[in-house]
Amino acid sequence: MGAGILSLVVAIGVGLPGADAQDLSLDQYAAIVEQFRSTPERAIEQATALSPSQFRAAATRARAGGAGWTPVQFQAAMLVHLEAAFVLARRKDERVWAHIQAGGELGEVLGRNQDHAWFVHRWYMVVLRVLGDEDRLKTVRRAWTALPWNAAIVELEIGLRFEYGVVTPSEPVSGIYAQTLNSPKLPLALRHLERGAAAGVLVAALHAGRLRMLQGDDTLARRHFEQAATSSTPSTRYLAHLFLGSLDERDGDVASAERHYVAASSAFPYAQSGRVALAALLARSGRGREAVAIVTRTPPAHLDRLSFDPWWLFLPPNPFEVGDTIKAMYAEVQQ
Amino acid sequence: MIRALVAAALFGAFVSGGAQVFRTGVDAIRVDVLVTDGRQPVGGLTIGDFDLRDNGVKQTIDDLQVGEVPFSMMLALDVSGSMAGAPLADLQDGARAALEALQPGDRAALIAFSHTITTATPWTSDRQPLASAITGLKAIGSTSLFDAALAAMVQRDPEPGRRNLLIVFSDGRDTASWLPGFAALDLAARSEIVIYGVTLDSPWRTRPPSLDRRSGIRLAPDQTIASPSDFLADLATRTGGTRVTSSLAGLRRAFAKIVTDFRSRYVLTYTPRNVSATGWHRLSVTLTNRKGEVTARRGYEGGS
Repeated sequence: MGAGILSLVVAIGVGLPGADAQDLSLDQYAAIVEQFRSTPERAIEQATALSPSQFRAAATRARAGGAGWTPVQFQAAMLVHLEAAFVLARRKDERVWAHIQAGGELGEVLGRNQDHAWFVHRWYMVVLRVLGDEDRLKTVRRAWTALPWNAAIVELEIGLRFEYGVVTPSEPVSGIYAQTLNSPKLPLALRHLERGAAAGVLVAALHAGRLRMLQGDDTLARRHFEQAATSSTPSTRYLAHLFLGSLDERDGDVASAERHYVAASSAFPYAQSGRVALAALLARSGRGREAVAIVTRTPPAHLDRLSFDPWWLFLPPNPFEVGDTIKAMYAEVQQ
Repeated sequence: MIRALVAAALFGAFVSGGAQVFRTGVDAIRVDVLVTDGRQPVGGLTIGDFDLRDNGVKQTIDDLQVGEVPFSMMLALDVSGSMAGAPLADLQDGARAALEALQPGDRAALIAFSHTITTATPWTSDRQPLASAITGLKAIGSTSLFDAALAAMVQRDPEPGRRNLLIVFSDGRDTASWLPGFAALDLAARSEIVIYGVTLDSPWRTRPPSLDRRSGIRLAPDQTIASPSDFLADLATRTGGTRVTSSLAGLRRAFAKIVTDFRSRYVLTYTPRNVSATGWHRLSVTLTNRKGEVTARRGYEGGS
């Protein structure tokens, strides 16, 4: 964060809240969003101090194409409003719905790109799970289902639910592998995930690739992973490269495997799975010194959040649990 | 019954600074051997008591050392959520006992793992930071046992001339690793580190793992997705170590005994003769004139 933005943040902090009902400038709004990426608590505190009239105009300007915001800025802004809404909901403060509306409108812009539609979808899932006002939520639900890529995202969600049904039996692993191949849920999961992938939802391609890999269909698995690796969502890109690296490693193409692991690590430099995958490859290749450097690479203590590993999203309970979903969305904007 | 008859390690396989390099021309091989009679280490053996074969060819042992080579001990401790409370206190006691059993020339390091792996203390001969790190351990999260075992092996002590002991403790099964168990097992077979696994004598150890906690990746054509049901036993056996089961209350004794046993191991050195320099070398070590159980590495990878 540059000094200019920092001074803006300080100015906003001093000038808040409500005592002065001046609208936020776009720069001031962007400063709050930027601060959320590093110190979310402070940004949320500032957001909850604002009156709707203060942030509404800035949010509208951010949505306008001319503002030039990146997808990550849109995502961070949506999370600022989501968290502010949760804080205000606990206080039974009516401003909660102004934040949900602002976040939803930002999502409407972000979700025009199918690669980001899953983020917007999850944002709505969390809103609907956490907030309890049924009358208000009808409006939210309508906005959600009207999103342009909703049909493809629903395919993804159904596919994921089948995928998690496929791989959660309680038998020994050898039996599970067979059961995975034979499970009636597997083709169902694949059908939905591949429909999502065909519509350009890249996280659907990632999951479809994993199931094809488990089936032993490397050609299709690679196709899906390569598609997913083009995602602008870091967690999708990271996992796609990890899977591609593992396929190359198994096939003996060590150089290509290393390239994929390095690409994964560039998306999430401190995430553990990427580091151990690369370190294992290097150690086997007699490059122990490099392996040590990679396996011990950790973020500075105050940036501990950067050690989040998207692989953990594949682990139980499942990607639909609210706490994990929020954690994953945080990780995507805080890299 | 002899658990493992064969063993070896590449002498000087690691260059200074920590780079793990397997030489193209092998000069000498160092074989770390434990001889026991019942549960007690057997001392007082000489070169003439050992028969060492490399790919079936009898070798001349040039040197034998016991207890003289300073060593480096890495503790890799499972601090997943299931260890919270009294179990963690027992584990901390066990780790302290291992530290107390070290001698002044020895070094140690500590890795703590749940789903995350943390190098709590890098290599040091100073016991104080190690003791503090052990006291500061907290138990939370799931278990990346395979990833942690690999990370611990990669971080072997780079100081030349030292023997490396890795003690891996886990109360259960892997639930969060990206890597399959194969990755750690494969590296263990190529490494000169001696690994001891410590597990709890509890139902967790035998509960089968499930695929929802696996990436499903395979890193070699012959690797199955299934991991061995007793990963730590397999890991230890490949390096000439053993897997120990213990009650929580017995961890202190178990950790201390591992260090004592390790110190009483014999280090045999030989220069391979009449065998190919390349490929996998199957090793066997037996006793010629004595009764006893020999535990050592199964073999080593020759230079290319």
